[in-house]
Amino acid sequence: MNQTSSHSQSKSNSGSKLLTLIGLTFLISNSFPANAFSFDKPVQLSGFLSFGGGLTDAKAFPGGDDPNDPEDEANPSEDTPRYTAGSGHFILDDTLSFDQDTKAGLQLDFTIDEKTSATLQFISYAYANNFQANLSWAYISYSLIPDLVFRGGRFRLPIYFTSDYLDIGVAYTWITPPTEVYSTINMSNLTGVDLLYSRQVGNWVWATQPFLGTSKFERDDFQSVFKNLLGINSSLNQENIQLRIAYMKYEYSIQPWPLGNNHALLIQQLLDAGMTNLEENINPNGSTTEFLTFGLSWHKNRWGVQTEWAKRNNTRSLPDIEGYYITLLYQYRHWQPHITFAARKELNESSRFHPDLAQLSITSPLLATFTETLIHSATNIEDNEIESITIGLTVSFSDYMIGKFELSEIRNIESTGFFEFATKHDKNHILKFAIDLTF
Amino acid sequence: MLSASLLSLIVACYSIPSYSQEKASLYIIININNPVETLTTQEVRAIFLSMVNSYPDGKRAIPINLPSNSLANKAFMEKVLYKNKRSLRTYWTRLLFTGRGKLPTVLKQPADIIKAVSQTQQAIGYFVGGLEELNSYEESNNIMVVMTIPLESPIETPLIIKTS
Repeated sequence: MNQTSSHSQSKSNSGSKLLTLIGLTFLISNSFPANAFSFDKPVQLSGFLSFGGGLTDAKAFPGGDDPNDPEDEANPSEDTPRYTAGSGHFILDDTLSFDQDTKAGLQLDFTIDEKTSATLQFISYAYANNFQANLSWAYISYSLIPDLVFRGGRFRLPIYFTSDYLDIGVAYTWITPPTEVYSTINMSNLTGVDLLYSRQVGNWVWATQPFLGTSKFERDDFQSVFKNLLGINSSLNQENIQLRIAYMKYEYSIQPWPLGNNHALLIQQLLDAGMTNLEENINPNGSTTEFLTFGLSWHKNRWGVQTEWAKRNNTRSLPDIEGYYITLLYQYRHWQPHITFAARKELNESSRFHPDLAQLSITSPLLATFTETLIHSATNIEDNEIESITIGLTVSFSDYMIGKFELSEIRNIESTGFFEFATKHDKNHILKFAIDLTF
Repeated sequence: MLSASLLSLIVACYSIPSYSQEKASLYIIININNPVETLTTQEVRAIFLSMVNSYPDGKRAIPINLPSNSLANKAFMEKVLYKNKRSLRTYWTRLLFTGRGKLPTVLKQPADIIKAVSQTQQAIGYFVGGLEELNSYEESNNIMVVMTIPLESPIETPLIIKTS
């Protein structure tokens, strides 16, 4: 069996397992006797689907926008600059693409008894392995008291406002939540445990969720591993206002390290040159990262405002990142226009490099340049600064299906912004549409 | 004569809606054996939106809803949940796909809610109408009204539909 047929066999098996599971779910849900006042369904099957497309007008600038900016990567092949938004995979170029925002998911909620339940969620993305379904969630919940729930397994990393329903387009205004904030941390799932607690405090409902576990973020060329991950979020809700804060800390490592043969050679040269401290500084393995975010959501009559601010602090040579967005929306019948302003920047550009790098640039300028290039290429778009304005329109076709249309102006304040290579102009545009439904 | 027979048949076999031009009220009801005596709008809202899963005394709460196309549900959305249809739909979608809370059980008729609340100590429900209609039910002895919200405009709709 060759590799291709093995791969398609694997996908086929994955698909048939999913179908078998869904079939069993229907059997189980139909096998329970009907009871007028049995309030918990033994099994609940829910699904969602999004179909979307988009393109950008960014033009290639083969020489790079600014020759003095080492991050403004030249694009010698004159390929159209791709808007990747730090995702590690292709998102948009100048050809209409339907892959990025097209996805489907199924969720199964099993009620085991009054206190215990299990949840499974399968998601397949058009951009990932041609719609191969992945087990995105798998956790068991146990209610210690009505408002204190213990969960264990794999679930969403609960750090942003929309973290829990990140893939459910019907649940938010935008086609995708603002990248300037939501890419500050690339991982979206956590394997571990958490506690969900809520209580009424006067006219407010206070909810909090401490969590502990590990996570991974995989790209074609490397894998980021987040160990000893612990954090907590807390929110206050009233009639039309919600305040939220989340804090998280983890130990970061990257695999493989060194990233390749040239990288290994460079590290060896640094060690040979006596730059042990510098070598340790550019090695992210074992470094600690802290993350903090605030959010505010307010709705009154037809108007709504939502904003989030996020900051990530790293030790060693990794960039510290800050991002925020503010969205204003208005609802008129089935229509909901909105405008979003978002920005993101690196905070420690001048201070994050070890002092020995300056010394190395005197004693061995070529080695210093290679080292700096390596640091920049390893952190990729995280060195950049961008702003964006998005105007969008959402229309409800029914209770379960909505359409979205968005036009964004992406401004590269520094370097290539969220584009893979330098663009001819620092202002580029993105046009996107999506249809979201739940069932 | 034929009409009278037909009417009798309908009365015997099907439910009879009682109509009113009076100003009705929205009643929040719980089981008579529930130790809770009063609830604030905010507490009822938190229970129905699954923000909390218990009464103020810490006991589990089981909210029961009416269908989203009913006028009673519309009044409940406006007066207690402070949400319109779209924002509530978005809220339910979030709740459903976060696995954090459960959507309230939906029963078709107010009479079903009265029956369910009368038989379930932890249940909480609502209906629109008058207390006279409620008292005409056998189950009303097991029901306690914890909140009454007068509605501003008269409703021209079946109040409590008795099912035979």
